[in-house]
Parts: sequence; structure tokens; C-alpha cells
Amino acid sequence: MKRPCEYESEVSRAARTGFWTDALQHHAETCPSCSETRVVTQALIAESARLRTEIPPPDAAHTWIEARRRVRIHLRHRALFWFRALRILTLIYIPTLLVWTFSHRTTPVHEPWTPTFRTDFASMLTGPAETFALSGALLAALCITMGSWYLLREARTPLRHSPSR
Amino acid sequence: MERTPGLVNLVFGHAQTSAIDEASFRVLYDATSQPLRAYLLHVCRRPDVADDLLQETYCRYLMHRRTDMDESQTRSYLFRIATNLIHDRVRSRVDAMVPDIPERGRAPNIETRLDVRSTLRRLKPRERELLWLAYVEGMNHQEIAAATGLRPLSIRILLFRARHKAAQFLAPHDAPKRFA
Repeated sequence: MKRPCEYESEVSRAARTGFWTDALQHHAETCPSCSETRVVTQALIAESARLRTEIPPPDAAHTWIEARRRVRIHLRHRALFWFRALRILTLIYIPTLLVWTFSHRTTPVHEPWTPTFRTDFASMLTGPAETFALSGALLAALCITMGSWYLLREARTPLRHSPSR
Repeated sequence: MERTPGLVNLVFGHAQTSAIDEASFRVLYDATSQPLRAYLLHVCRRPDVADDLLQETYCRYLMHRRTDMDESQTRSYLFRIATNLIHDRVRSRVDAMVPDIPERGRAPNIETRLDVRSTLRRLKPRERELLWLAYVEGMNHQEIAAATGLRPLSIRILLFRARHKAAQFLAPHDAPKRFA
């Protein structure tokens, strides 16, 4: 059974670069483990040289454009996340508002109606209702801001090459 | 191979492609694409798959790269992405029928070429990865561990076994077994 040798990395480096010292060459011929290392490294280096020269890699421009396209999709997904959250908030808040309004409806009394919406609405929003409405408004603002931010970023990521190219 | 991004990544993540310009990317690509493609081609053995994985590797790098990486870390990171993509592909079993790499031109030593190719057919993808990273890319055990996701302590023994297996396949059958 062969055992790993401490000179394996040096033998491998020498086989890769072609710089052999006499001592190392002698060691590689006599040491079973290093002999294996040399055979395998030389075979793989030959294979590597063949693979690198045989078929050149695709042009960087294709990869760059593809990456830009993915970034745009990525940003659009994020914008959609916030707009979906806004939709869910709407679905929660509108029924809640209706339920709350009907449950707090008081018996009508005969008094002259004053067309001051502000006074009436403000008088309805007290205590927990005020907190609830305010948090809803803030969350809606957050969703709209974040969604718009990602849409703007998407618009600033055009699918074309840089002018310096 | 596109994945649905996780919730946290979707909300708080940052796509960083805009942080690197096209000229810088081209420099990086020219310096790293050849060895990376050779690695992918060596492990998965299909040029079309290797090209797809190469593009996927750079797209993921551009989307998730850290700005504080130096040249060596970038190289390791690219090999790690490529290795993960290979593992995903192996797990999905889309390459059940793996044809040979098509012949183009003539290599100087046809015997070596055939030996290496027959060796490739018989080695497992993990063994091919380890051998390539260690003996072609010249990575040490720590770097291989970073690229493959294996523990550094496991690399030594796995590499030893893979090399022994490859050497047996590469050895001429009629040659005397000097070290057996």
C-alpha cells in the first residue's frame, strides 16, 4: 500500500512547470507515491493544454448581457414582492376598516349635520384605531417606496454594452 | 437552472452587477475563463454543458460577488460556484447519457490522449474535480476544500485515492508493476 509523500506537492509543481532538480527527479523515480503524482499530473496537463486550445470559451459580451438581463429580472422580482405586499395589506385593511366602521356605528341622533369631514374622521380615529390606521399608511408608503426604488434601478440597468467597450 | 430567490434575499439582497463595469469584467473573464472552462469540460465532458455552466458561473459571480475579494479569492470563488453547479447537475441526473467530447484537430501524443480520456470515463466526477484542482490548477488542500465544500482533512485521503485510481488506469497493462 502506497502512502502519501511529503514531496508530492513539489513533484506536482515540477511536473506542471517542467523545472526538475536532479534530486527531485531521482526521488520521483524511486518513490511510488511521487511516481503516481508525476504520471497523473503530466497526463492531466496534456489534457488541459488540449482542452484550452481546442475550443475557445464563449465571448465575454454574451455573458455580460446575460448577467444584466438576470439583474433586471432580479430587480423586477423584488419590486413585485413589495407590490404584492401592498396588495395583501389592502386586502387586510379594507375588510378590517369596513368591519370596524360597522361595529362602531352609533345610533343616529337628530342634530344638524356639519360637513366637516376632518372633524368627523378625526373623532373616529382614537386609541387603537389610530395606531392601526397610521401603521397601515406607513406600511403602504414603505411598499410603494421600495417597489418604486427597485423599478427605478431596473430602468437604470439597460440591456446594452458600456460606452467604453 | 434559475432558482427562486429566498425571502430574505428578495427583500434585502443586492444585485451587484452595476458595481463592476464591462471593461473590468472582460479583464477578469479573459484571465479566468479558459482554465475554468477546461475544468468544467474535464468534469462534465460535454462542451455545450461546459459553456452553459461557464456562463452560469459568471452570472452568479456578478450577482453575488463580494467587493473585498482579491485575485486569488476570486479565482477560488469562481471554481467553487462552478463545482456547485456541477454537483447540482449531477444530482439532477440530466446527463445520464454522456457522449464523448468531439474530436477537433490532433493532439501531439495520441496515446496519452486516449489514456487520459479512458481514465476520465472511469473516474467519478468528484475524483476528476479533485485531481484537476490539485494537479492542473495547483491548489493546496485548503483551496480545494474551499472550492469543493469538502473538509480540508478529507481532501488528503480522497485525493490520494483518486490519484491512485487514475494512475492505475493510466499505467500500461503490460508494464511491470514496479511499486505494487
